[in-house]
Amino acid sequence: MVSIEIVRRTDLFASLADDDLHVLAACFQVRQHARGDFVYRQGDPGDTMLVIATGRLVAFTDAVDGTSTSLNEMGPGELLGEMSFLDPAPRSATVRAAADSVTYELSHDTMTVLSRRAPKAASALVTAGIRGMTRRLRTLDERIEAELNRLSAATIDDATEQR
Amino acid sequence: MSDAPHPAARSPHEGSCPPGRVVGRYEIVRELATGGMAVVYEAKHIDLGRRVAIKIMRAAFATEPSYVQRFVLEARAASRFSHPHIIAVTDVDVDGDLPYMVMEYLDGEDLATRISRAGPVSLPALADLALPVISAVAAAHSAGIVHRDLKPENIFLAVRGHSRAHPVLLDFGIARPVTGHTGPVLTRAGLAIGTPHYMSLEQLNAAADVDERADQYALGVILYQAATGTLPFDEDGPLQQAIAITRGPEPPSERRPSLPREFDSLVLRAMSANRTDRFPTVRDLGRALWPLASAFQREQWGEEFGDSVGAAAPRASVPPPRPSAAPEMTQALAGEAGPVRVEVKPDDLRGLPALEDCSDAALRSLLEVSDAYRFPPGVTIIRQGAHGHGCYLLLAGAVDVVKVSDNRTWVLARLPAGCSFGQIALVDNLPRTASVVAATESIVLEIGRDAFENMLAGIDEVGEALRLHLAIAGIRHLRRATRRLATLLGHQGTRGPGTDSRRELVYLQAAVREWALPVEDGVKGDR
Repeated sequence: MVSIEIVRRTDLFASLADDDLHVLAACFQVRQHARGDFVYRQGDPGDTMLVIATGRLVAFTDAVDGTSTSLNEMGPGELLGEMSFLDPAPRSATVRAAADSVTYELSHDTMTVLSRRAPKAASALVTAGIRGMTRRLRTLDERIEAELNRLSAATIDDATEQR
Repeated sequence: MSDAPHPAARSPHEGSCPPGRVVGRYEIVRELATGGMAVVYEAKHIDLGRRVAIKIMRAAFATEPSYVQRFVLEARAASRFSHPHIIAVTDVDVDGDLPYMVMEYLDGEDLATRISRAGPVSLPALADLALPVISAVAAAHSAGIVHRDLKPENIFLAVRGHSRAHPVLLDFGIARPVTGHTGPVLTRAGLAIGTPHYMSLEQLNAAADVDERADQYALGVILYQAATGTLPFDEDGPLQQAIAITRGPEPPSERRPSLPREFDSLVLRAMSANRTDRFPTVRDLGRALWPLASAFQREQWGEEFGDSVGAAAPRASVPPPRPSAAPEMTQALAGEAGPVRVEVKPDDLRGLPALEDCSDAALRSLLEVSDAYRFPPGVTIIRQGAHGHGCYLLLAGAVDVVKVSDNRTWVLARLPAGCSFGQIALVDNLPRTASVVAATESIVLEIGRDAFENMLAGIDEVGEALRLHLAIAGIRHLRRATRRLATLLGHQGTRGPGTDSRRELVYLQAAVREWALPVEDGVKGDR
């Protein structure tokens, strides 16, 4: 059973009217994860977004050499997969439950229903996608910048090159 | 010159010339406009057949030497300039007793007609029209001439080649040198001349030292009127007008809420009752207006009015042969015709996957706040180094994203129709890190940042469709960029760092910031 109160406590949906919240809640699927369970694995087909209702999840990226990098740990009210929800694609990270957890899952297919019956909820989901995307683009930009700085420090010859 | 006897001499309209009458070497074709002292006709040169406009003084005024002097002074003032936005006066002479001046013939309509025909002129179109006029007025000021009768009737929107509205400043009839002139003072002391609605307080008071700042006041009123469709003050007499000026007008946005604060503040400053509160020069007014113009006009006027970063940015030059395997750019950048504003219909926008399901009404509202341009191949749409002001939807054609670095030009990507570019400006006001150049003839819809934000603020169909488009385009771009970086760092791991990897990172960064990564074939999620 989806708790309207938990959905309402999510930043993104806090301003939605009750009617919209009910439509949205009806679209969610409840998932239970025991500690250590994989929520999804990097490379799995992804077309859903998850709202963490209770518990904690942790995301990793797996390198070709088999090592994993922990990205971040997330708790109640946080979202995962908001980009795959808008534009399905293989998962870019592996997510596991760090504690017994409950998530509410929203599938890409529900977007059509939401746009028609709860447009404000659909709009909020697009906002989530844009926020996630711009945040990660900035992170990527910073990584490139850091990489460039590292190279500049490493190769004195290049120090005079125009950036 | 002989004034051959002609039926026109018995015309009941004193001073008017019927078709067929010959004045100097010109044959009158028809009357174009009537002014207080003179009438303007279309005429043709009898030998060359060239079409001209000829302004002939009314006989009643031609007997008064001071008026004749003033008329000749106007012709001299106007002929002193060779400015693309000031009417070209090619000849001045006297036919019998009637002084006349010959000017280029212009097709089109004046700004007053345009406002009464089509209503307020929205931004950025208004800024696009006003910057050339401000440049013309600034040129007159530099030559020591104050126009003193700027008004919408004196701003002619000429149809020239592909340009549908090439603004030309007309009528230096009451222009006079600013200071230190030794010519005659042609107005009686205490008599204000000009058109009251556009007259500054000092002009209404017939101050002896009316200077450039009076023209700036008039430009402020013209901007106000063009933006709102109404005069700031619609008072009857000069005294009421003066009182209203002292009180100050309500901000233009009170009458038209879509106008941005920046526009309010520059118009109100130009219209300050006290001239020391106005901009120091009209060029400073132009600088304040420049950011509100379309991308193309900002580029055109960047040197004269642009911010220092934009002005200092390298102009797109002819690119050397491209190191990439992509096809050559169709044409060199230099010497090409510029973009042309084009009409776009809601159906044209449906070609964009993002907008295919939107209603006509919603798409029309998008067209109201955006501008469409046709860019010939090779013409720069976004310039590396300039500050971004909006984003672009490519309706037709293809564009290249080009990065100049280490004195070489690299094509980062070719984007096909349906793509958007320049979105970074919607998020950050960073200088553009790459140029975008039309690869083929391209039709581009420009959406300014403000318009975009307004659209996003309300839940409307187009705003939602564009947001979804922006989100999905951005998400796919992010995925490509992430893969590209991983590949690059992977190569670096095997080859070791070097100039090449550094350069590739620089390009990747530009491509990341400009959302300009090419679609990789066969990669899932990159539909």
